[in-house]
Amino acid sequence: MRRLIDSTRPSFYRTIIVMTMVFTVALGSMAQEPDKRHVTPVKPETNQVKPPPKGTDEKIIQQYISGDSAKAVEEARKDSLRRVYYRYPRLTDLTIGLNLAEPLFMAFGQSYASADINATLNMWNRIQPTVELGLGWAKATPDDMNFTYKGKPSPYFKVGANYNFMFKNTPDYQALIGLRLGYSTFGYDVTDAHYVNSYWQEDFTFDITGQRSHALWGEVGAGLKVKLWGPVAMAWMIRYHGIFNYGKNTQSRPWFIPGYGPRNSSLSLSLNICYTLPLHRTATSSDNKPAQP
Amino acid sequence: MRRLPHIVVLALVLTLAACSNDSCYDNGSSLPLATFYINGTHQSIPGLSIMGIGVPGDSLLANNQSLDEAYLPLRASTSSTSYTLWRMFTTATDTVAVRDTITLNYEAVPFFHSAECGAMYNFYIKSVRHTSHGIDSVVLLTTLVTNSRTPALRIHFTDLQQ
Repeated sequence: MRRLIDSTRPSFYRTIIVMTMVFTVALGSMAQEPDKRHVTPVKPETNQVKPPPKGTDEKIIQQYISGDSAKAVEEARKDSLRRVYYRYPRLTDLTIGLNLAEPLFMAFGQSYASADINATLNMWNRIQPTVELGLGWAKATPDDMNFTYKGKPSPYFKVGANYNFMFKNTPDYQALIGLRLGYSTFGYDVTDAHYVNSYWQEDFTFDITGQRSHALWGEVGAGLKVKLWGPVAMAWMIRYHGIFNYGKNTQSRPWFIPGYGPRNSSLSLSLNICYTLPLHRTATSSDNKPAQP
Repeated sequence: MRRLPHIVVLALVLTLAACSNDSCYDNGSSLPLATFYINGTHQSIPGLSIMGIGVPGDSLLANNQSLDEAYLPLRASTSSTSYTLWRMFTTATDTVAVRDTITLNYEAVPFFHSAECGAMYNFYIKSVRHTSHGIDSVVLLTTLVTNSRTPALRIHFTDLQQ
């Protein structure tokens, strides 16, 4: 057996050497040209220029036609982003409003009212500084109480801003939160005050007239604005408010504050009929409406 | 930064909610509240009667009751009001009444408080006088009597047991 192995050893080694060389050469050739093993087949339509999507800007279409397809594709991409993330101009529109909520409530029996005219500047369809200038008055004789309160027609002023959560959409429809700082200086009378002291059996009436006061208050509100037709819209906002400071007299505390309502109230409602003046060419036109992503 | 508007709104709401409202106490009148003390201790006075001097029908505010405080209504049509207070005290042989008078001088000012409270009179107390048979001293705690439960007078009675 040992002799048999010895006689076959030279040819066995030769075979091993040859196989090793062939394997090494094969590996070397694979290492030199790796890309040839992973080439993706080219589809025939890759070389074709796709037509621009509908609604593409005319300038981009002209670039396609003139053969500058690379630049056209880039412009189309930017145009698409502008459509999805439309940014309204800084001065989008100006809205003039008339707040008629409380005169309307007064027609249904409320004993006080505040009405104002307001102007709102819509910036980027997002931030909306606003001013309100109005007049408030009251005349109340509560059923179970002993006085008549007359709030003389007095002015009030509010300044603040809204934030439009729907700033990516058309300005015709807005969901808003707003902050206001209000101030009023006003006069009032308390008449026919009926005083009764049951122990001393005193019973008489008195008046407190010529009273003057002032108030500074803050408001935070949430509301909606909806287009009715053309430039006319309706906006309403429910407001939570609180008094920072008010004038206290030696003979009285004010009950009604113009623009605020009853001093102890915490909520009010505004209802505006609005007229919108566009400050930008496309601010309210239909072609300004952003495309849906 | 995206949360900033929410934080601002929340802070404002809390600030506005903190703005206090006026409350209306009792029957919508300004009544001076007198609290009673013996030996420096706030306590009930047994056998106490209170009556306004000149009140129609000699009406009593308290009739032989045990009280640690009492409202003393003031007349709005005059500038002073007097009250007589007496305590029934039993000795070894008899029952006697120890009687005192308190007089308050003031200015009555018409005042409109609020829609809930209505119109009333406030009183600016100028001085207090009293006799000293059974009252040791009277302390005026505030000069302005309004519609609140803040005590206006502190009446120190003498200890009749000693």
